[in-house]
Amino acid sequence: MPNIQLQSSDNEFFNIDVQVARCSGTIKTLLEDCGMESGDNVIVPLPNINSEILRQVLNWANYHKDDLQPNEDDENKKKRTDDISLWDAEFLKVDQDTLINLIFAANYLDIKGLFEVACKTVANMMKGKTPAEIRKTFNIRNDFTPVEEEQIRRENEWCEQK
Amino acid sequence: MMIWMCGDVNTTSLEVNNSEGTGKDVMDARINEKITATSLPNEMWLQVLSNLSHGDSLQAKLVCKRWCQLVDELRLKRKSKLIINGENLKRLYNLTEHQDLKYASVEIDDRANNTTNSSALDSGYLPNIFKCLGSNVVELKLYNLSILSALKNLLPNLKELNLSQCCSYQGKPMDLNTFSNLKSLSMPMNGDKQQSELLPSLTKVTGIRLEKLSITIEGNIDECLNVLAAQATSLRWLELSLSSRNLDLRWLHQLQETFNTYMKSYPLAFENPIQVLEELFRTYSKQFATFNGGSKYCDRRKDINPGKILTSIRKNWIIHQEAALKDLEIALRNEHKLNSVALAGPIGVGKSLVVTSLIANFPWPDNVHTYAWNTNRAPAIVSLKIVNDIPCGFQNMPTASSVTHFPVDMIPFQLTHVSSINA
Repeated sequence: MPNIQLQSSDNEFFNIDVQVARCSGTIKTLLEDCGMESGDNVIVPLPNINSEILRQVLNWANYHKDDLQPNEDDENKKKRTDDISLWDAEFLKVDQDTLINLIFAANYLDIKGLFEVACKTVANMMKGKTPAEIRKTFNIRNDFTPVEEEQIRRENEWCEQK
Repeated sequence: MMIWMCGDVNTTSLEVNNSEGTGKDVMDARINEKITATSLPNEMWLQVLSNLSHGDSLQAKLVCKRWCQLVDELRLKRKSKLIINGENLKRLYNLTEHQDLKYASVEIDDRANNTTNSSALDSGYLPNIFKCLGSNVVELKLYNLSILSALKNLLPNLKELNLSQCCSYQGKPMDLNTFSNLKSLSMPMNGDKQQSELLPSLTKVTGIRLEKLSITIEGNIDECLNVLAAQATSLRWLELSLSSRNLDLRWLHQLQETFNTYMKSYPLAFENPIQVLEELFRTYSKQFATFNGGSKYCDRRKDINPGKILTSIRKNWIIHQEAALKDLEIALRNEHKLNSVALAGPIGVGKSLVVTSLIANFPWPDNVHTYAWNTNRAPAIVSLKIVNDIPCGFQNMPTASSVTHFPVDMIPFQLTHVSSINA
């Protein structure tokens, strides 16, 4: 089984199986477009991802390497946030910064499964919280004036759930 | 009622630990500038926020200006719905004067001030609001049929029209073909009059082709059959409500004929939808025969015994599904509202065993119909609902199991709620 090397932003090299690497749409396209599928000594630099995050992403990809690719056409499907598998939930028990960086990395590498499950996990962190609690969780500054805030509250009253 | 039996779900909320500033973090920060919640790009936050429930997304709007815009952007794509009523009509009109409102889903609820025909909604405000909302609206629910003709040229992209709650009628035929993109239609639930204003336009050869139709058959069976025949090739979801008061066997047979003749081109999702339907008809024929003769179906003394059903289910070694069983028990106790059960979940969690126990202990076992489908394609679904207005113990319970793929929108039964549990 051919291997390729991924180079993290902090210059660590990861020697990985091509099948694992192909979980990433970005790397898959790169290998195909550049005809490097069977080549030796392929090094893919990933300047946006540090070794800590890359290690975790590869860990995830290794576990999920045999999964089927999710359907593309399910944009209209109702989203569920409680269908995270046990393994993924354990895997994502990390601090918030890591989680955010995993989302970023999964998006950059185009790994849909990881991206979705990480997004759901972050969404779950907001469930049932007040705006103030959400701000505290994500360290976000409230930039509304009281008047603006009141206006949005009023608008919220108009729309009801489908 | 839908009960989701899961083998692989974990909803434990994450422990967020963002206060530990270890030396390692500092080092990483030096090597590579880390992304934080605030620096995560918009398109990724959009994905996160798209997972929120409607209520949570409203809270998210109040977090900061950036999130407010993001949620507004999402709203266009999905579930938020604008409800126009007599109270907010004028404010909305003023709002549309100054800014763009974008809603994909709109409901016009004028029930509160529907006593006279000159309701506030008849004023010029409504067309003006829709000139602004217009092309974004894909879903519309009305309570008053006469509003529809006022809006007919303002909704070029309308896909779903829900008239099920319309009570009034306008007295002249309405051509639904003006909504050339219409794919889903729920007809008024009570009243032949409204339906006969709408139905003729659905039999036009060159007219719109619906994918989803919900229709009540009362006195107008021939009209309805014509519509079904005209729309048969495009329909993927059909809900028929038959009033048991007016129903006789002749109608049932005519209906069955129509299905057999026209509906064969269905994209198959059930192994054989026609077969399922035939079985339904067989059962109902039997029941209507027994209506007249008097039999156990009219025996109101029969009660659903949730305790007994649950005990039997537990005996079948259904384990680790307490939350699902609890939902089922609540549903059974609320029996007058229970009209269907769908069991969803992966293989081996006990869906079939639950159905078996349910059938064995349901007081009207002939009324339990079990569907199973496992396909990745959106299924073509035929659902037959008997509106039960005969005062007897007649109970109908379609039961779906083995729903491996999860087409929530396509499940033909009323979902009271979806629950999930861990195995």
